[in-house]
Amino acid sequence: MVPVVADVDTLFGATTRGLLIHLDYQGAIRLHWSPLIHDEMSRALADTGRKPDAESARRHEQLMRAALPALHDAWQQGALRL
Amino acid sequence: MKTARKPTESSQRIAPPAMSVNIDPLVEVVRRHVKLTPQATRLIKSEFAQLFQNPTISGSTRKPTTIKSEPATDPVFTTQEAADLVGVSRPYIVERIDAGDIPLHQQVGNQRRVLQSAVLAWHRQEQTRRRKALGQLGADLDSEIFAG
Repeated sequence: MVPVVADVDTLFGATTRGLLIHLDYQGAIRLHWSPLIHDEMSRALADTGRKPDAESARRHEQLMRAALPALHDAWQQGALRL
Repeated sequence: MKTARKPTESSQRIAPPAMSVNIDPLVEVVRRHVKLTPQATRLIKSEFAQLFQNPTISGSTRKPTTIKSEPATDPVFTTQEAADLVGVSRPYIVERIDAGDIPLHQQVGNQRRVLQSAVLAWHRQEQTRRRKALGQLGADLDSEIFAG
């Protein structure tokens, strides 16, 4: 499986974000990002008006976590540092 | 002329194998340890004869030792094999076992073993949860993409 590290620039666009998450779900790639990348993405989405407010951006972040449970578990275990 | 009879249930049963046992050496073994009167010898011979005619007594009274094994359809996996099976990392599988999401089948030293069926059942549940999250995420992405 191809490992893919997505930075904020990559995750900022909604279509690219959705496509990468879907490819990970289908098993075509192994998507990685870090909590810092996630935080920055949420802030950028709220600041640019892509999301109405910070709370909405956080909810979206939670959905991304739920869609990629293995990745987020690796963060909690400290097994993955980007 | 004989006609073939329909076999009854009792005649279909497999008869125990006939045993031919010479009882005299057995009595000699007993005689080496205790003094036997002719009457006792006769009684022991009679009891040995009954013992070996009893169909429940076979050549060995020990039950065969059976090793409990899993059915061939449900193999036992190491954590690495389980991780490879469902395409996740080994630490993630270990974490799920320790959390109780995947039942631990056996612990060999410090190594965990799980059943294939348990791994696949957990994987199905997780895929269902992911699908649900993806559905909500898709709706959220749509509103972001198509918002004014």
